[in-house]
Amino acid sequence: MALSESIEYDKIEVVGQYKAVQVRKATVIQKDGKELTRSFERYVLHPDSNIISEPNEIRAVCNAVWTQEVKDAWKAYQESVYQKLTK
Amino acid sequence: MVTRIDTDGIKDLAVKTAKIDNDAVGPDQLADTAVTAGSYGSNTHIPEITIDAQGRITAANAAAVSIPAGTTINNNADNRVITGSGTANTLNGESGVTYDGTNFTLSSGRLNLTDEGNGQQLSIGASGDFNIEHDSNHTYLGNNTGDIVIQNDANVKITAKSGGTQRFRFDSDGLKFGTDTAAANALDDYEEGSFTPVYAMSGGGQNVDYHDQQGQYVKIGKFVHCSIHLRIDTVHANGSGIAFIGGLPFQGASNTGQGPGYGTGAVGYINGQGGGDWWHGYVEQGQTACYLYYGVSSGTSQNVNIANYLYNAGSLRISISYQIT
Repeated sequence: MALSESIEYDKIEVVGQYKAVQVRKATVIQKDGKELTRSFERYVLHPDSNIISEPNEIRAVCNAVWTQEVKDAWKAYQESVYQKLTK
Repeated sequence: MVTRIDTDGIKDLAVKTAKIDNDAVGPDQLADTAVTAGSYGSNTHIPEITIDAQGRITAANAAAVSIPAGTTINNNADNRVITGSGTANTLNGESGVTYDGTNFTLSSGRLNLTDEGNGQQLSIGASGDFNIEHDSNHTYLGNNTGDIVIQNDANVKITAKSGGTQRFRFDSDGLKFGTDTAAANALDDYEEGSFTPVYAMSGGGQNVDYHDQQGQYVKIGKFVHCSIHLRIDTVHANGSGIAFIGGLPFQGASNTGQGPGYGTGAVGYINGQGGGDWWHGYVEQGQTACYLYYGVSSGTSQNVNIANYLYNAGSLRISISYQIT
């Protein structure tokens, strides 16, 4: 009877016009190779996020979709939101 | 010199078999066994022969036997299953039921399993792993090994037996209730999980250590509900701009054809923070941030920032709901 725990990034989705990269990190517990549990942790990366510590597969997606044009558009949108919401 | 024949005739044992010519012994020289010469056996009698230890036929009779009449199979053909009939000595080949050594085929009619009093009517698998049972009240599908997988390239529906009214429908959009067919109304996802919420400032530069930093989410279709507990340990740097809770698990819907992604944050509990009453939150569309406000002034929500409202050891429990794309 061997228990093991592994991490899978089982969903990497590009969402919206600003190419947010939604990541689902699954923690999988297995017993003798058969999955017992799978729990999820999520986070979202935006074009201004620091991705240095992300796994290569996620960095590859980010680098593929975050063109300079997308980064500029996201920055402009963020600033417009901050301006709108600052009272 | 003659030694085997004397005046009485040939001496005992003087004549050996080898000394007798083939076919030299005729019927008259054989012992009479009293068997009547004749032909024994017919289409109603079989010969009954008795043979002694010397191999001689000592009796012969004709014994009467009862030979069944021949059986006729009507409508017979290769692989057809044979069934009885209401006529003596007559069977039927069933054109709708065949077995070719591999497949048993029922090409017309139905398979009726009518015994409702002895459990399963149909058992499938070497150990009967999958079974179907109907008792006088209910029907049961049972499976002991692995999953039950329903495979269909078109829709899967659950309908009423009478009238066929749809109750549920599974299609490529998700699960639809009742008679609904609209893609927008399909439930296509349910998910639970965790995330790590953070306090952040629109201008950046904040540095906060947390005593508690917990986020749980439930996603039902496009609806996301988050439960957050943030308790600050130490604020090292305030940053600039307005404060928000970042790190939400999904990006809110944008306004580009997907409808507004606005969401709300309802503060359930606050302790040790500034700003007075009525803290609340607002999720901007297309973002993963819930902006924090502490009240209303002249009809407008008032921003929170770390420097003036989020203190060391301050605690906030907030639930946030919003829609995603």
